[in-house]
Amino acid sequence: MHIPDGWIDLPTSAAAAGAAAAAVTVSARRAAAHLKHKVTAAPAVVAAYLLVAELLVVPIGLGTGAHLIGTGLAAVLIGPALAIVCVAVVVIIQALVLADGGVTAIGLNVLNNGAVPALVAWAVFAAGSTVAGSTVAGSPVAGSTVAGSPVAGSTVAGSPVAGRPRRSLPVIAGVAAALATLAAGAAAALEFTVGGTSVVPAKAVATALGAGHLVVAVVEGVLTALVVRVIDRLRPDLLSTRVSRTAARAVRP
Amino acid sequence: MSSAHRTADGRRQVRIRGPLTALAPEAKLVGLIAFLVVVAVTPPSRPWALAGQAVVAAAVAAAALVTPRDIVRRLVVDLPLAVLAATIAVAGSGPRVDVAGVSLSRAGLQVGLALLAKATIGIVAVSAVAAATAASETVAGLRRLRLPDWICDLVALTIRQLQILGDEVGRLRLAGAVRAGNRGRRGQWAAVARSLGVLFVRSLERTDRLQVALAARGGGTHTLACLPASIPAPPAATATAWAAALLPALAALGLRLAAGR
Repeated sequence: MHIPDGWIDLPTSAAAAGAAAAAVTVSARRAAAHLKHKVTAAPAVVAAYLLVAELLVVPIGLGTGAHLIGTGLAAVLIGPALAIVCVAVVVIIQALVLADGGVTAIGLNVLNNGAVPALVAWAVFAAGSTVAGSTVAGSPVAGSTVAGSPVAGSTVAGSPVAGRPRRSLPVIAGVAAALATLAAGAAAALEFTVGGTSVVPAKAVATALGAGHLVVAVVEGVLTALVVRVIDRLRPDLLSTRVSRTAARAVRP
Repeated sequence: MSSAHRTADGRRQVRIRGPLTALAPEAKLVGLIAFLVVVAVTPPSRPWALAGQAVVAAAVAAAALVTPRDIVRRLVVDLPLAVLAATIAVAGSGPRVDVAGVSLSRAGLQVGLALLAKATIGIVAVSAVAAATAASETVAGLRRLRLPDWICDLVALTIRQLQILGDEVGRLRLAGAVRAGNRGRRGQWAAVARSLGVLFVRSLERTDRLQVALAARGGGTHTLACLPASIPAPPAATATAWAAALLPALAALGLRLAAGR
């Protein structure tokens, strides 16, 4: 959810803005180091993707619809560093141009919609795919080598690595995205506890936000799993770049 | 079609020159933030100050020629906030009041309504500035406010990509609708997932093209040419512009102070 203007007090908002600026700068440095060129093209395109993804709505009953949030998807596919940069740009555009989310809450929203869920999704996906047998490469932005030759990807798709673990990747990505959404809700609840009103007990806010995010998390998880499956079928190299690096490392003594 | 000709959500935009359009974008941004900060520090126990600030925001929106339809469309984000505000009203501490048969906390009700009012004021105020400022002007404003160059470039490029991907989504939706027939809910989920997957792959494939285009424009070593040559850069802020842009914030501050401690 996007925290609007005036919900969190100014000291907390200012502190969050500082923390968010630091997180985005560090992420951009990391991403730039891995991309080997200026961090402009890839995050711009993915940020635009996250913004337009909201236009595709799935029915969730009672005449309401839901849409992909996509932080988890981005973290899984392009790594958490680039994902955090993308979400920061998304939050800025939403606050200043689309009037969605507060202007004074930009820092808060970068933290609870970007940094927290991206890191959680990445950690869960890395752990999950290790358990499933297809260890993830060490590089956090391994998947972002878009320009990487598709030939390498296709050879990997036929290699022994592309067995049963590979098929479980969409499910792992879905679980990662769902948990990331819950973490985003928890971060928002924490921010509200620290800088929100003291009239209401923190437990009540956490319960309300948690219940809301539970539904959103399930939708996000299912949608992310389905989307990752589609992407894996269209461009196996996008997901297998990580898998292939680990395979190469495993072959090496 | 340049970015200046469309709104960020992809609709064609006919630019009507209102009094706010000519104002320097950096002044508008600072004025907006100052106004919202004053609204944020107005305590819930001063409802009249908040009401006055809402009137100020509405007046600015009217001056910016925002259509009521635009504002209503954006107020949809208020709905989940209303649920949270209701939670605060129900679960709040202190003396209770009965509203339409429901027992609510008096303090919680006040805080809930104030939060809802602040969120709404924020939406109206941002709508006003957004309506009077083309996206490329907003980027120019951010640049003049000394935001790091790379993030300004990123925002500018994202806005441009937004229009391209928005068109792509339109085509995907149309294609989906043509082939869909009367599918059930499962079918609709699958169709949306397919569209999202295809869109992601196409987006990443655009990245290479974009990289080449950027390299051709100077490899990102200097400011990107966000504005087409035919459109002049927005005016720089004069003292008058700063004064005009800070007027709503000062009015809001006056209302806050008039409401007493």
